[in-house]
Amino acid sequence: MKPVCLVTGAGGRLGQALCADLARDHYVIAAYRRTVPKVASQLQWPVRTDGAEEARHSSIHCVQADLACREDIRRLVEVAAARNGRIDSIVNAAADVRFHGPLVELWESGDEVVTQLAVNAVAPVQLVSAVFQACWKDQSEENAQWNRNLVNISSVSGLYVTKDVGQAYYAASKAALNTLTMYLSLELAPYSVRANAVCPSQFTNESATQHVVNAVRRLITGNETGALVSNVP
Amino acid sequence: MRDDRPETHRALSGDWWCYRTPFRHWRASDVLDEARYKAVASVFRTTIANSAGRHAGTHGLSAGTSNYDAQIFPIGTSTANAFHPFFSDEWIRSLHRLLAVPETHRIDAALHSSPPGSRTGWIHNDFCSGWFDEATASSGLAFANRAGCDYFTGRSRNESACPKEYVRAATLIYYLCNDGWSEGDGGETGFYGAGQQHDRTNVALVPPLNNTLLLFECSPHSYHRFVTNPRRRRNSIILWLHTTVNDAQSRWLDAVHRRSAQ
Repeated sequence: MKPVCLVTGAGGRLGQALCADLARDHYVIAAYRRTVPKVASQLQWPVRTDGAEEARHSSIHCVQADLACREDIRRLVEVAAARNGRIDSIVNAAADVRFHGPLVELWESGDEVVTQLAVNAVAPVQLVSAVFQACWKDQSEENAQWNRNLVNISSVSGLYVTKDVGQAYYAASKAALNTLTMYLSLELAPYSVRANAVCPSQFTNESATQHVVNAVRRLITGNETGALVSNVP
Repeated sequence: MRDDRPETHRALSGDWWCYRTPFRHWRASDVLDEARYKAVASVFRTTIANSAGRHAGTHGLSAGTSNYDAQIFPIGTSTANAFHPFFSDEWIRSLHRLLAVPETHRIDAALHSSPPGSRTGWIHNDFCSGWFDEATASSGLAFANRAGCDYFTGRSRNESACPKEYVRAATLIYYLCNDGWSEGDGGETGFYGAGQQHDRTNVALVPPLNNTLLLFECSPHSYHRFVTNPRRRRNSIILWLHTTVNDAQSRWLDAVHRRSAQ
């Protein structure tokens, strides 16, 4: 039986690449907010024009969800658990990647910076918590058997301070995510669930994106916990 | 080289995807190879340029309807070959098989060119009758002949006309000559959810990228419209496939928007 992986941010470049890669040996629940990921799923599939037989069943099931909304997180976990009976890995790839400019000019900033912190740092933890309550609590043995874990897609911005880029809030949200990942690794260790983060720099092309995917796959299938992997790409 | 692919798909080239929501449709990219695209685009540009400013009719652009601003150049038997492979028997047959719709060999087609600032169209589903003059229909593909009868109502325009009713089965829009299109330029095809004829919030926007196409089954749910293009002209080739009235009614009962002159 294949493990079940829940991927958020599935509509983005990295999310789509993650779904396509993980679907080779996982059942994937692909959560997207606006853009339906261009991967074979129950919503859309490639039409074979080379005469080969079309795949009728996809390993990917798409779910629309706005992770800034707690009810959507609850529904996402319910759908994932109901569909596959369990959730073995979470890859939090959803992110608000806007740069808001110099902090000193943001005294009038509105809800967008709060939303960014919520989506990038709080929502991933809420999702993990919801999965923990629904699937991982009191399941240490099964968790170990399935090598259950989570991988947060963070950023190198959360590790260093960079001058004149205007990314302070974004960087702070990723720094918070890094710290929260380490706390999660401590809290989940007694339940045999691992928690790690990947901190890539920019991945604007296919090759660089694949490096990040490879790093995520390595963390999912490995045995590390509490790691912030930054040497990608 | 011999093409061993099943006949079903032989004419379809490019990267095709089927989408289930908000209604069944297909999108394809890299539809033509580079040389063929250039040839088709060149004919398109020439046709539009040579027709601009002329009177409506077989060889001129007609204005769109009162709520659709595109300039329209109808395609018929004499002009279809220049746009090969779109109006070839094999291409049309492949589409019918993809859609699982009986082959009627009845099509309606036109070049559409929307000048910058064209208004957003009305939300509609294209699911209506299409009348063909059987007296002038050729044995192969038959194009709608508006000189013989009114396409929408079947009203005869000459004594020898023999109008027969079909129903639109699918709409195909091939986007071309929209070089450098980017988000914000407009001209997308907006999709609207079932029962949302009066809800103007689109659930998908299909961009008019060069050498891509959009194909959707005409049904009571296929609500769509042209979205305004404030910055640049939007060009496309549009094609309607038709099915028999019986087939349409067996699928959708009395939901077909049937019109007749009687």
